Amino acid sequence: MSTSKTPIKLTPLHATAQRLGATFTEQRRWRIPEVYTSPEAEIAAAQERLALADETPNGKLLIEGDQAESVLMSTFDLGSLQINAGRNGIYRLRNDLFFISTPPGRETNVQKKLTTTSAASEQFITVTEVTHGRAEIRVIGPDSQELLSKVCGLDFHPSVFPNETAKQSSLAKTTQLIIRCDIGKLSAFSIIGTQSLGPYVWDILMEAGREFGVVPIGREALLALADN
Amino acid sequence: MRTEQDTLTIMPNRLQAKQGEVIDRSTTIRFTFDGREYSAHPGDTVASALTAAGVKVLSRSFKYHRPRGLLCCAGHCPNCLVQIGDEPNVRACTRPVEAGMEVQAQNVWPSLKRDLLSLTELGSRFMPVGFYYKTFIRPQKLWPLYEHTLRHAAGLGEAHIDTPPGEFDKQYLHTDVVVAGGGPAGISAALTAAEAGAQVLLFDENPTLGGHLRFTIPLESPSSTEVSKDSPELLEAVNQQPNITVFTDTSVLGWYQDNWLCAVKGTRLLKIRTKSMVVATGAYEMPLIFDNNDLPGVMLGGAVQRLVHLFGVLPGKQVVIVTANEDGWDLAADLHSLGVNVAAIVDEREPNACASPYRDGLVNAGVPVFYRHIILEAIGSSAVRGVMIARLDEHSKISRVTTQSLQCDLIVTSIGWTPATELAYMAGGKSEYNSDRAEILPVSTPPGIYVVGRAAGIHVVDSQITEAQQAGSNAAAFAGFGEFDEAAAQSPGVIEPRRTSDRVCVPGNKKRFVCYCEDVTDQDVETAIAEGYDSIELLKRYSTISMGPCQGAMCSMNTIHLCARANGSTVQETGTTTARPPITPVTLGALAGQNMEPVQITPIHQWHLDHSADMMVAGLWLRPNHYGNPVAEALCVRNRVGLIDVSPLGKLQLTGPGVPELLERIYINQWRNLRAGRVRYGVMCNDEGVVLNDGVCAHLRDDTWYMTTTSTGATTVFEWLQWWLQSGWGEGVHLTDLTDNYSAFNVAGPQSRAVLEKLTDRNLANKAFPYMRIRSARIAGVLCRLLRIGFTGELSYEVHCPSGYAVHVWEALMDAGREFGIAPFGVEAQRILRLEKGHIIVGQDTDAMSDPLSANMAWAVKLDKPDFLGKPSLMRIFAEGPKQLLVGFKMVEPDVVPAEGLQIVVPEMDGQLEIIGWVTSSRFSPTLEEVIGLCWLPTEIASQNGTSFSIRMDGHIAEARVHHGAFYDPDGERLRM
Repeated sequence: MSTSKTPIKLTPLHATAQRLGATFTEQRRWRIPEVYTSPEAEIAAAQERLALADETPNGKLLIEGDQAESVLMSTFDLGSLQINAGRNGIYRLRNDLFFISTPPGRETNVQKKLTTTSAASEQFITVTEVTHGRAEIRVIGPDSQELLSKVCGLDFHPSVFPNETAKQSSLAKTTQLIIRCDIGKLSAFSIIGTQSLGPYVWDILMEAGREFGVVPIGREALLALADN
Repeated sequence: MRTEQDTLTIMPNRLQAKQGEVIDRSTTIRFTFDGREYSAHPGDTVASALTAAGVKVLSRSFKYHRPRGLLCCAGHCPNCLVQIGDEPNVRACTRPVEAGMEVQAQNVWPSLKRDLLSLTELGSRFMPVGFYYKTFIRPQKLWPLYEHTLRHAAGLGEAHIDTPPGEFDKQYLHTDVVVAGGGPAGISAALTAAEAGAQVLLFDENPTLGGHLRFTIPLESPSSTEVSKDSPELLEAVNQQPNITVFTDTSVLGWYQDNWLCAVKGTRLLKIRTKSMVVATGAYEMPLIFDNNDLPGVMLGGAVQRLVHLFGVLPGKQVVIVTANEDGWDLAADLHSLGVNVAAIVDEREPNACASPYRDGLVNAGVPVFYRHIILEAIGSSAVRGVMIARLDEHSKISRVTTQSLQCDLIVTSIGWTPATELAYMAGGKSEYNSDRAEILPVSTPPGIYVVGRAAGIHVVDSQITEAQQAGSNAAAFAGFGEFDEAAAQSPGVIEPRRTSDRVCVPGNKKRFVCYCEDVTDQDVETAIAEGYDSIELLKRYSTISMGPCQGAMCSMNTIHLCARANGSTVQETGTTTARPPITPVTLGALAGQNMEPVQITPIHQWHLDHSADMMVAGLWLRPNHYGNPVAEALCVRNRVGLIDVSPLGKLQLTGPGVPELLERIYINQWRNLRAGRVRYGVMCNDEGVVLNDGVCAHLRDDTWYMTTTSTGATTVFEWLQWWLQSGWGEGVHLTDLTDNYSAFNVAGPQSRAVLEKLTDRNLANKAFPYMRIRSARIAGVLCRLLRIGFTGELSYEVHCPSGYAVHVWEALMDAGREFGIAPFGVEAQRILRLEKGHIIVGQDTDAMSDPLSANMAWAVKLDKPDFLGKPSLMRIFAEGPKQLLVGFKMVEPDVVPAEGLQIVVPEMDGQLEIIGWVTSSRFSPTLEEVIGLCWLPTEIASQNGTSFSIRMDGHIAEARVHHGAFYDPDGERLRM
């Protein structure tokens, strides 16, 4: 066997980011946009208007089964969750279906924990890692609700769609999981859907967001926003 | 520098500046109308600027090409429709003028001034109402000529085919209360609802809020003097209220189930979900029907007031006001106070019926007043030069002997109102004719729907505000904010004086238009009713009244009156037509919105583009059709090794002990006996035994299975499985769509093993990893699923890798294969290769009638299984025998490739050709150097190998012969090497 280069993971938005002039960095073997223009400009855009970020490397797990809630509760000391509600990155999509979002690379450990718990308790659940199969686009900024209202029929008002809520909906004629994940007081939503549709959804959001002055932002700006 | 005097010279109808106007007189801009340059001020509409310049004729009518001028000036009637650039059917009275704008008259030839198409009026007796149902139908072969001529002569503007697409979009809004209409009533309702805590969306079709207060003086109620003309207190209160979001220049188009509203603001379509709605959409001023009532210079009272107060434009020098209410007198006083020559007031009422506080002042000022008089005719050819009036006798009949003419250049009619209740009607509200008021007024609405202001027949401003505040309070309460105002519910309502005349039509001997949009006269209405179209809904459809750009705003009420009279019934008995969205015309672009056509691409998409791939659409997917030479690509696979991106293949994971039982029911073949690590080809049928999909399914381990589907069938199969899972089959089975999780590449060709061996430690020898097996393997350092299967008929491996690593793995395979002459191949080469093997493509070689017995897959059907989808149908077909078979064929002539879909025919006794089958696939096989294909044939022909048959080509018949079995490597040795 010939020894190959170290495998690097590319997000479905890699070519899009290249076209937009991004410089890249690596995180857990994912190649991700670091900066598009300047971190300062990107931070300002996110805080004052609207920004899009590629967060595909975030770990994503689907947990299915009638005992899924029980396994999750015993594994993570999680209280009961209503449908669409979330806590600590765990979201209930159906009675028997949960979605877990983790920081990049953490999904493997979570999957192992759940599998171990279910095996020990002889509860049948299916834990499927879908990180590679789902693009994740983060919409950040004061105008994020306005932008999403142009492409999705859901009501994004915080009173109806509070932070840590996940809803599956049609967005620009595609099926997406939309999670409200504010950054402090800054409105933010994660749009998670089929990776092959990622570039399409990104382009639609950029086009719809043009009137708000939307810009793409990289990891450096994202980290700074989270620190703030 | 242009002086104000200069401007007045080029805009002779412009009044001196005054408070409340919306134009900026400090700047003058230029635009053209029909090639001639005109001046305007920012804030002007196209129509106000042209009227200021003295232009009276703005358009030609739809059918007779009669000159038409401003009528309503409110965006309701069709009289000012123009073409601006490549945008047709623009209402000049509402479109703001812009510097350099090129405005054209539409539906004229050769020009607006001398439109030869107006000669059609000479033949009007040959074109009565509904003529298109009765004439121009014989001889039938001339219909294309008739149609071309009629379409050219009639119609509106032109949509240029080469116009670049505009930018449109949509927005979804959610709120507690919607207020449609931003006049005093709408504003008051919105403020009250917002103060109760409700989120309110306030819509108005005008550029600013204020409604009629912007251009009329609320003269009738002493207390209304508290409301200033520009209603600054109300507007300021709206601005200060954070719970109100205002949408101006926005038309609410319709109400739909569950308080779902649709509105349009410019190029944006708004889809609104609300809990309650206040309809404050005002009222339409009714035109009067009399001889030449469409002559430019005949206008509605509100139109003149808009021009005067908003734009400082007076559309005439000598004004005759025709009225039947105090609104006409208010208008006369208004104009007189501005120094306008009011040549006469013609009031059909008795003097003692007039309660206007301005009467004495006007009379004392010498304004001639003709009580108990009615207008007979507007005099003039292309513009008003005078008016003919006559006295009404004691029976309210016209006394022709009293006819007299008056000189004037502007006739203003103010004879009544039609409440704009379409939204309430769509929401389920009921209206009744109030004979005292001569208006159809709303009498009930569903819970959560409220009608206020002029839409409710309330014209006095103070009353409008009071009632609207109660409605706003209740709308908020309905949405969960505050308490219901019980007093409002028990209120007897406001007593309003009669403002509307029920005369509507003055007989005469010239054309009198009921419908300005479609050129329908009162005589047309009578004719239609005489022909039997005597119900209001039939009359509408036959005459097309209310189906034009005004959507009934100008003609609906008058038509009901005419219909009632002709039938000898009452207005209440006649009823109204059904109000349907859109209330006002909307562009198709706004309905379409932003271009949203989802496209799926694989992770290798950019690589394909960088390597000159010719991309094709397959479902939502973009796939490489070929990289320049599909024949060479196919030969590369046969002789060396090729690599194809098959990522769009559907990939489903099934887990749980119930999976085998589910598969037994879903597929037509057997699954219980498939051991872990093995792969099997499977065919799915629907309940009718029709082939639904096919693919391979692998038993990974224990309770985990991995199913693949066709590229375009992944979603269908996923939903199909979900359906049966939720129906109780495969209890406890978990289904996950992994189509996008794994990218898939097929390494195919005699050297494929050698290529892979360079990238993995896994033993790929035939014995260790035989045909139809699945293994996990690290390929170029990435853990992949490896399936040894072959659609192409060669030794091949399908590599399924996590999509994030797809580019890495693909490039590693290309690098490793370089020494073996590897080349990428596309869908076209794959289709050649699979055809050489005789493999079918579900959806191309099969259709919605194809069962597996007929489609040459009888070997897969296991009728001895207890049950599976389609079994009863297949048992019947098995018993009866298939009538048609999908079978291979070879063309006799080596260079003739029949197009897919061509018919297979046999000659009948009479020399005609009978269709007996069709070609589903055909290609030139570079390996066999023959033309081969698949086709459907009657069983008796298909079952005989070598039987010849005829394919109807373009202009000739080509001969082909039935071929049984695979064309290439029929024993499948190359797959198993």
